[in-house]
Amino acid sequence: MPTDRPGTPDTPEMPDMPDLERELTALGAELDVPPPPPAPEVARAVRRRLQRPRGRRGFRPGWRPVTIGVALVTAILLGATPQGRAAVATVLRFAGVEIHVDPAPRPAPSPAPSPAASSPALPGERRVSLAEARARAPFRVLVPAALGAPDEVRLADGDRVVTLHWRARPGRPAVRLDEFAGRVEPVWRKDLGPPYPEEVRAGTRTALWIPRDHGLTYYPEGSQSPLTYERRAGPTLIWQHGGTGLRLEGLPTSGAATRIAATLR
Amino acid sequence: MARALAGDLDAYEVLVQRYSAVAHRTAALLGAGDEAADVVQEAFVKAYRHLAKYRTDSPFRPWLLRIVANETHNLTRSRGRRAELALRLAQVRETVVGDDPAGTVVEDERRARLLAALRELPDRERRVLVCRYLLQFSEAETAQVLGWPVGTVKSRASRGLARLRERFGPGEEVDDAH
Repeated sequence: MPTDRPGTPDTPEMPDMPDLERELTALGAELDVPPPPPAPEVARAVRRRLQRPRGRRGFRPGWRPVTIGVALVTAILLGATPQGRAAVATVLRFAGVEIHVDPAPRPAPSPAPSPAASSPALPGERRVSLAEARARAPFRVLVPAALGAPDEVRLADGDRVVTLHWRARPGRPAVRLDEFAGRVEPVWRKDLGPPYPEEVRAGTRTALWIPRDHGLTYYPEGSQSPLTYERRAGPTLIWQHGGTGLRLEGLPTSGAATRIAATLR
Repeated sequence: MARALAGDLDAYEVLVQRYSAVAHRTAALLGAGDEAADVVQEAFVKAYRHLAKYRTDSPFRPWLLRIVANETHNLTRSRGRRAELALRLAQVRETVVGDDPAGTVVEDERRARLLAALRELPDRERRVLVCRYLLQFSEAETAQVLGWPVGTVKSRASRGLARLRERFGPGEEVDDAH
């Protein structure tokens, strides 16, 4: 068995290497290193993660939960490259919603936005009573007094999302309010181009108003599964009330949306 | 490389494949142990997001491995665990029985003692010796991977070697194993 013993001639690769250093080098080959996963597998896993948002693995400490008031975490995803790529995508994380603002956003699905109850269903979505939703959801389910009792209540993905629907009435379009745990793991992703979401007030709370159509993606529980819910969303107000994250869709202006949001009970 | 820099994921995937094995070994030997695969994945994701900071006139490998080394360092620090615990001697030698069993045993003991001495070194000295000898990086590459000046690499390596020699002895005792 070839060994690097003191007194043996130097190997061509390591001329003049003192004994201890040679022994250390040899030790490198003797160590129990866990076998690496196949390179193509690593490449695929990395790619999957790069195509998904940040902070979705358990291993690294993610962003801190929003505990007091409202926090806005901004991160630069990709800087400009030497090639002069001017595009800088920005990710805002807010109340359980991840907002990607990119000069060239990924295109939103084509059907016209529809906040109606007939829009694509979330994983495991089912119709429930407001009382059942309140009993099951791990966050406080709130209803804006300005809208009155919802026409329909849906519970989805293992009680993770409660959606309240109000049908269109004279003088008011159909409105949809999604409620979810507004912390830690993002529940939704929004892809939009400029302008930046507008910071507005909803009662005493800070909210973000997205004035245009944008891509809306739902991150299912467990986060590693492929995306199953994606649609085009209309202007949306996002805010947080206690531990509940909310997204209100269907109202054409930030004024109309914030007036309703301020009446949350 | 240029295409990867421009944000082309297909091109980046090629880079990931090329460097994943060395990244894995680096993470494992620097203390990530069984979590090397996680560290490597994290490092590649971070590297991609920081590609803008990569200077095209310098080699990619040490730039990447520095991220791997940092991730490993963060991991071991965050777990509050001595990194060196992850270093284990492989058991393969037991099955590869040579023509000189007695010599093999002596040598195994010697390797085990060397490893134990290495584990007990101060963190910085151990890291530099792992890079220089176990991973066989050049001084320049070690400096880039650990983020230290070359002079620091030299001095910490020689301090580490001196400490190992003190604890481990010059090694003459195996000369008669033949």
